Amino acid sequence: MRENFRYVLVRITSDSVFESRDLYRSIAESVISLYGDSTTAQIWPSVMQVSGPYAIIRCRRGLEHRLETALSAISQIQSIPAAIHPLKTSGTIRTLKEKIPPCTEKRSAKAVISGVTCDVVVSMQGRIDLKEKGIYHEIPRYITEEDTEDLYYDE
Amino acid sequence: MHVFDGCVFPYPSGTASIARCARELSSLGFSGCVAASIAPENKIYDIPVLTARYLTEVPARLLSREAGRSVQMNELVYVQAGDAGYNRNVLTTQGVHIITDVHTTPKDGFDRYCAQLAAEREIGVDLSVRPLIELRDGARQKVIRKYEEIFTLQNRYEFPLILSSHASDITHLKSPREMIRLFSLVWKEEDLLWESLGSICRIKNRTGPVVEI
Repeated sequence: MRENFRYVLVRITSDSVFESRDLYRSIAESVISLYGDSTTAQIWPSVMQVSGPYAIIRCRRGLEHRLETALSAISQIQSIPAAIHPLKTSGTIRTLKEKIPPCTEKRSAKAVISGVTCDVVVSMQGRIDLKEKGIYHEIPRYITEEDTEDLYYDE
Repeated sequence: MHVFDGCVFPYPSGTASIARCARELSSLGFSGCVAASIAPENKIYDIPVLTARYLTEVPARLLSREAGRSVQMNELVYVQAGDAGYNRNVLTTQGVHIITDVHTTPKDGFDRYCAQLAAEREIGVDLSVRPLIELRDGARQKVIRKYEEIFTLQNRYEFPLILSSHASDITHLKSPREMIRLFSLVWKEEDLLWESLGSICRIKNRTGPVVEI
């Protein structure tokens, strides 16, 4: 008999990019930890596609709420701090693919914050992530354009 | 409808600036948040940001002095819960808006009498989503049981509940939908959970008890 599946579009928030295998391990660990082996077998989670910070996860129809709960309970992937935000649920992969926003480019730049010049990555809506790892205590690591004193892009 | 994240920890407690937290929360679908930090005055963020003073391990005798001392205009006062006696003291102290970290209290730390006091004085009980995410096995089960107890008391006494991410990093932030999903592990009534996401406004605009002149 043919199975009925539901597909969940998710956004991954992390400094790193992950492969579908890493993503699957984290999802399986979270589902098992919350619901146990028998419900995990029923949910049958599977990673269908990963494109940049977006991914499509499959599960059995009727159990998508449980999958979403388990996705929300993920705090790290491959021991790297990360969050998985469920965005949309659909019956077909094609519908979800249409909902994935066009790839947003990140640009390298230099920013002056509290008088310190730092290498940064600027992404959509003026989100700025600091690259240096040793200065977290002096200045925040995640900021916006409004938090900088000066911002100039690398050539 | 207001949808507020009950408590986030921006820089210096966390790694993200207030502006970045506000931007992330706005894109996740929140209409406001409470930041346990000192915010620059007259600065406009993507969503309204209320500021809070988060008091931890304050001795009972110093509580009223600490809660009454206002550092910023219009700030909320959060006090970390302790044992039952301490919590009763917190709930009868003028100036306290929210009692937090209730999952760390000992057995019967937040009892029926505490629930009644919280309801009478419109003091919110803050439930953090972080222990549900970060703890595993027995520790998480204990938190779920504790939260279930709080929800049962809320169902009877109707004190304001606050749901918060307690995020100190952008990866800790959760969307309203995720918060509802995670708290549905504890309590199945989604209407109450949605209502709890807007309780901050009720507490912020509370009026004192009617006093006979």
